[in-house]
Amino acid sequence: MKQSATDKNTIIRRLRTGSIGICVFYFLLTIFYAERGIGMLPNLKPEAELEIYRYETISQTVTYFLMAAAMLLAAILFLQIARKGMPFQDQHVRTVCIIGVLFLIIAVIPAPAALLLAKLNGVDTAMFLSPLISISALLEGFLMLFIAQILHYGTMLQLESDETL
Amino acid sequence: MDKNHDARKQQTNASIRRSGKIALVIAILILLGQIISFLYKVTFTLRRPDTLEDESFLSYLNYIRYGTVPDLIVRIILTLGTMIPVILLLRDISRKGLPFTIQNGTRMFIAGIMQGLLALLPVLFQFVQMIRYGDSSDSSSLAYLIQPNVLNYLNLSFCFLLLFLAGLFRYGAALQQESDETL
Repeated sequence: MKQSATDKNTIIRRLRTGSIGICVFYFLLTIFYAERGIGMLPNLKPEAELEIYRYETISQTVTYFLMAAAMLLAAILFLQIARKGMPFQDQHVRTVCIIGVLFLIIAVIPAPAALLLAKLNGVDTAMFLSPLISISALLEGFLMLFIAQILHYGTMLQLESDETL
Repeated sequence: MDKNHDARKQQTNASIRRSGKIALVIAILILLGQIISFLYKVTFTLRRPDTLEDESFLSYLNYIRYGTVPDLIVRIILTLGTMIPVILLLRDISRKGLPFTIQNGTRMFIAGIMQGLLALLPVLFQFVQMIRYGDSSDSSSLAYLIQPNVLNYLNLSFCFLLLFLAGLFRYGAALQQESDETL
């Protein structure tokens, strides 16, 4: 049991150190996606050549901002793990769930919503080229929810360990 | 430890086992898709005509360069190196419902390293080209290496995630061992 405690402390120390670097990386990704989203905003002006292009831009802008939000949540998650060194906590499980839901939203909402908006405004949607469902974002969303389940199991083990001590 | 806690643990195990089975099927399908895509790209690249057959969009699609055969081979090896440990991990989870083992931590670690290599591979190829044909000390050339179309940030992101999960699984394995010893 004593050797296990030493192993745990070593692993936690490594996780905390690693979390700092990962936090910085995801924070940079947040800035990257937010910048992309902000960069798309001028294309929303009515002077765009093709009307449908504005609606595709809406879809892409929303996607970039949602990705920025997901990356920001991930950065905050790793910052908290780096500060407290406790990876198995209920709030972290909730954060990972929210990230997973954000990915699922990115997968199925922006493009269909933009297409629907275009149709409601009477715009010709023949040249709407964005895929309606992002398979990769869908898979990433389900992956995050699966990781959240595993983290939830980890919180139960953590609770047992704390009560034993 | 109250019975409710044990019951919740059992339910979570069962839920993880179910999700693990679905994830295992999806991972196997992704791996098969990657292999089929690799075989198609290699055969197309080897048979690729020197000019477009006609001006149609389909002809252009058929002419798309997938990269050289050695590049494709290295990529599929690294992809297999990522997916096989993940599939073994998911198979383990789907059978036992217990994700936290030292073995699973090692599998995550290997998958993470492979993803990192996959992300850095284009950068390495570009750098080798720069050394052979260009000025590798030029700062603008070096800045090009970290552009999103060269350095794959998605693969890098998965690399960091998998390496972190490897550490997390090892911590979880220590907790699992404590829990089993207590019981």
